[in-house]
Amino acid sequence: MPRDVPARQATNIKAADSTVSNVEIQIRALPEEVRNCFEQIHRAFETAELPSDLRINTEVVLAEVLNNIAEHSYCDRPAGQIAMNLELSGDGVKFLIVDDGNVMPNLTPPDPELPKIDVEVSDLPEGGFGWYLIRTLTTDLEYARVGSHNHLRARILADG
Amino acid sequence: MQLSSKVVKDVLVIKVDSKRIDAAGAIHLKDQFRDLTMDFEGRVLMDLQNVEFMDSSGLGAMVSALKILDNRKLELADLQPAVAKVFALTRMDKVFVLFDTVEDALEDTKGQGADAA
Repeated sequence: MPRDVPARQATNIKAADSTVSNVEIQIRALPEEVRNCFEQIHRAFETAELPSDLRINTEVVLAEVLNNIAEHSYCDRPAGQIAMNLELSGDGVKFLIVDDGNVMPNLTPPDPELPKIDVEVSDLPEGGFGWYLIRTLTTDLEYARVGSHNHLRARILADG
Repeated sequence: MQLSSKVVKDVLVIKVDSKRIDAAGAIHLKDQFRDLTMDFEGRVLMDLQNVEFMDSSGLGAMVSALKILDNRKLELADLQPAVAKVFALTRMDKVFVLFDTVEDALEDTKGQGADAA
């Protein structure tokens, strides 16, 4: 498919002097579907003409959020539904991601320190980076339990 | 996830032929890396030119690969912008030995990386 085809369901609204592009994506919480949804997200990046640093930050954050939902929220229920709403503009990417899985412990997304890396090679961490990356690259992170749904929202910023 | 390898100037160069090292492929990377490096005792360099994206599962697989090498370093070449970003944010760029290109790595006979002046 040509790269300049807009993402399905994408709509462009002129707001002030920057274009805002909205995308709705639904997937099942499976690693392959998480991987494949980025083809649609890449097309939305093109439509919204996002700068490259914001594209990278958005892909890192969304990949970690979606992996977390698959691994934790739906740990006892494979292939649960995930609904994403992305609002892309040159100023940042707002997202709302909804799933039906387990409630977030303490109703609060983790805010971990970066795992220690000045240790012996055999003691190096092989995980624990996901929430650190999400927290580092987002602002206004909010979690809510709404009925049987988890709602996670935040804004992803460009660098600097 | 597909890895291929060849020995160049006594260095085992492992090329990753996948665009993404993510949760869907991380375990395969670790297994294939172990197979390819099992009977080789010299320097090991991974060519990441084709890898456009790596998530924290992929980063974890890279750390696993480093541990498989025991006391050897794991050298990495040609990190694309999104991959370089994840390494920098997690400070893993200090744990691996990074080179701009495979050629740079092969010319650096001590395998000390781009930071070593």
